[in-house]
Amino acid sequence: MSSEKFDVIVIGGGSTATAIARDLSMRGARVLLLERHDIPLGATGRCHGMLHSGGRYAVKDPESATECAKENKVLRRIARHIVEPLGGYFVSIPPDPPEFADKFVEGCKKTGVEFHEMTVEEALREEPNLNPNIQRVFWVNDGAIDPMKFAILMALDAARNNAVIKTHTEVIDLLFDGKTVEGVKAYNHLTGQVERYKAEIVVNAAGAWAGEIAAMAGVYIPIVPNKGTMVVIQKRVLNHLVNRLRRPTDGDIIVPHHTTAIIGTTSINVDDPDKAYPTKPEVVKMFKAAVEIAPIVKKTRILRAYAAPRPLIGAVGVSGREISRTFKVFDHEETDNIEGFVSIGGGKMCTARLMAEKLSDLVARKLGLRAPCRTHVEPLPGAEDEVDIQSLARKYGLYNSVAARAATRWGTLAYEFLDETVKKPELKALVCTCELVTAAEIKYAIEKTWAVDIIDVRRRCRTLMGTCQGQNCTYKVAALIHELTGKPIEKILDDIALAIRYRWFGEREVFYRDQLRQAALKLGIYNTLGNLDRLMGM
Amino acid sequence: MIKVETEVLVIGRGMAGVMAASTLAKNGVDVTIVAKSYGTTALSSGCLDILGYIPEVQGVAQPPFSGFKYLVVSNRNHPYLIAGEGDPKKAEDIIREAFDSLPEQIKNLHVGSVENNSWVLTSFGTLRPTAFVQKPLEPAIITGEKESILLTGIKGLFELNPVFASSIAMKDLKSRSLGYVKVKPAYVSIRSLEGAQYLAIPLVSTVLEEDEEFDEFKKELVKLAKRENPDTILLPSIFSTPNLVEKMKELEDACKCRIGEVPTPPESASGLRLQRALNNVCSTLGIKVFHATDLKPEVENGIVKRIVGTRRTLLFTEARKIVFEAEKYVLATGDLIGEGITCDVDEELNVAFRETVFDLPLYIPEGPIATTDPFNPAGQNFSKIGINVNSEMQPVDSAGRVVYENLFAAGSIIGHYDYNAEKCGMGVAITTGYKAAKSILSRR
Repeated sequence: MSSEKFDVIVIGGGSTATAIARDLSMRGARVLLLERHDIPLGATGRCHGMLHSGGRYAVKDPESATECAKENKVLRRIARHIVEPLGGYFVSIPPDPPEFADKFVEGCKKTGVEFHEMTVEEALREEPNLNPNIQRVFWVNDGAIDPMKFAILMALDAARNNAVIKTHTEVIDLLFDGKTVEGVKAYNHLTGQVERYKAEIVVNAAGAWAGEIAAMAGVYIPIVPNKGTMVVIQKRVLNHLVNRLRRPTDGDIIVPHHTTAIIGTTSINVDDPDKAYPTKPEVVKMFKAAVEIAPIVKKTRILRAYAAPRPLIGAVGVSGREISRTFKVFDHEETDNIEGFVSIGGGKMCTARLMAEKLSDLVARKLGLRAPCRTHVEPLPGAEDEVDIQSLARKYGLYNSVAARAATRWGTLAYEFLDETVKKPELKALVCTCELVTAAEIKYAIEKTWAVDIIDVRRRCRTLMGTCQGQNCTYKVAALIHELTGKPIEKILDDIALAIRYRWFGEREVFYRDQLRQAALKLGIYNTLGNLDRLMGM
Repeated sequence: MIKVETEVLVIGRGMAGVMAASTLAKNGVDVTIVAKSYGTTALSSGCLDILGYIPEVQGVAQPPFSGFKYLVVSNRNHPYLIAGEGDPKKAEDIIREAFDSLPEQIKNLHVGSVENNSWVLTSFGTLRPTAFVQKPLEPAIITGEKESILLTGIKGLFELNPVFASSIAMKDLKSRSLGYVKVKPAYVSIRSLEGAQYLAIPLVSTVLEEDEEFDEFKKELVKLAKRENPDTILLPSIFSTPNLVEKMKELEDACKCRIGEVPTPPESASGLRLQRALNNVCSTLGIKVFHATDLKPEVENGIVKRIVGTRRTLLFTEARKIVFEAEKYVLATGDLIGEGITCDVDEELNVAFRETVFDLPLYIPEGPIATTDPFNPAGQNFSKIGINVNSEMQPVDSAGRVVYENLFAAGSIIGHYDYNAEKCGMGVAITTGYKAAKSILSRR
């Protein structure tokens, strides 16, 4: 049982929770972050990866639009290595209502969203794969961002500021002293132990699960877990993010992301955030909508579908699309007469830093911390400098393509892990040839960023996320974890089973054409060659 | 346009196609093979398995034929039973006969017996049952004798991580009360591949073909053998050419222990060796092999008259039409992986399976095409999709009527079994290929 006393305990490991841990630790607070599984697992781990310009909300949700427009600029600065500054198009395709374009212009002006109209010819020249029937096109400052890396880097920076990050540690109860929350009771999934931690203030930033944490304090916060399903296709297809010029609906955005493009998204309220699964009808709907935007999608291989629960703030019975994407800080001392406990809900990955700033202002006041927020000026780890791909490649004797992928995922941190290859050249070998991941990168993820299993490594390095969906790399990553950490082989086997099953789950909805062939080959390797079907069942 | 006339045209050049073609050629039939490409043989581990498991039954089928008593109950449409006219004894006989008739090049490559499943240590460290392994893999058979194995990886080649694999092997061996067989991890490096980024087995093989590189490799291995003094050194499957296989003996003499390979994920040397052996079978027996795509049949009165395809001799050259006219045809185009069967979707993403050459009626099991568990020992429905055949290996429709009088089929294009779950892929290919050839011979 631990009796270490912290200033703040942050519950959750998504973009908001990690941003809070970073913010408060930078202000000098002693922070403990507790995440029940892995750092970016909920909405952050399975979101669209869109760096919003605000355009999507300009008409209907002005508050969110303004927040996005501001944070867009901040993130391009502090997280430039994980941002793809692609720019976005809003396109009108019949039967999109023509009057929506005028509303869009008006909304952008009001909310400060940067935009300009382009000619259709110009747009088609830049984007030859777009539907040639587009009527009007507006450029906005959208981008793509790696949401998982975003949260991991926030946590990494918090740790650099003396925060303690504990993953796979699930808060199971709050500890009270009268009406004051004085700590938490947590179950450590890795050790099987129940642990207790105390702090001046407990911050509930558990995203879609925040309602459940609040209930432990006997208070209600109106978190509505809202499912968004996304479909991943094999190629980037487009050079820009493309949105439809109409009220946000299912499948109206395509986001080029790393080696893939992501089609999104649905918005369906769900009861249990742990049961936000993609369904076939959703996949069909989004596939059709994406074909409307870019007809080439029809011929493009679909890799998988996935879904995440957004932590919207709303009222029961209101449809997910109608709920604002803005956020809210709950001071339970004020509203529920419970001291030492604050919650945050709503918002988006894009605005997580801003949310953290607002919540941290409140917590800092309570703790009497004077230091101002610096999260908008300090770069995240890896963003300190621009990485020159050619010189990175030359320095470590890498192919340019391999160096480029490493830099896109880690920025200047790539130098840290590639330095090891000087003494151990075998670490330069690729473990994943879909996403070009070297063993050095995986070693770094395991040793420096709290990755304890195959799926954790996936969130950091994009292993298992390429075309073969883990066929060639799952066992290789598992082997490296075993070799580097000595994790017991029984647990490693469980990890392999879980990772393959988890991939399978998302692939199953799109089992046809080459993805079904891939699945057949995957079984050939794991079951025919490896006999793992009989070993896992034993 | 090129026109090819032949007595029998075999479509597909994998194990099933070559088995059918070689059996016919040995009996004086003029056979031609047409294939899309080199097939999927190189993706296999080159083990010739007969039957490892029955989906519904726990435990291994030992000997392989002991599984037939369950198969008769659980799956009467299994290609083995179909080939044996529903009688398990006849099925056993035809399998024995088929393996007896394997071309010399395939026989010489392997050791094993149809009457026994051996346990082979794989690159995962797991044990898998199989009837025949290639000779370079023989040291990987766990016989139950006391031995110390040095599982040796090549630095940077992650297909075999010896630390991981030996941990699994020790766990697996203990669970089988074979804990006295010791598996220890070790590494060797290949000098010129140090720091290489794409370290695939074909590359390792190419490098080892250089005498200087091989001698360095030998020195490292000898050092290792002196230090550890093992009974057996097992490496990933990297000796892909006959020359390298020959040189394994040199390594054994120098290391004073057995040197072998473990079955390794694709592309592994053992898969490449089997593919090479299949090619040799064709050239030795004078079987002409053509590559052509988009094969379309022309049929008249329930008889296949000819097959028209497209042929490119070189990349970027103009595609030319090629016509094959034969008296009989054998369809051995494989399953989903080999694209004998494709799965397309409509706009609603409803899947439609299709046999690619003749659009033959397919057997598609009821229910979802895949279960929620990739490790389900009962297998997956999509693996069982395939054509229906009669005991003469003629494709039949759902009512059992022969589709084309002069068309026969072999290999994984045939439905009603899951080779991943049953560990029976090569066995079915060999048996059905042989049976198809026999049916044709009996009609001459």
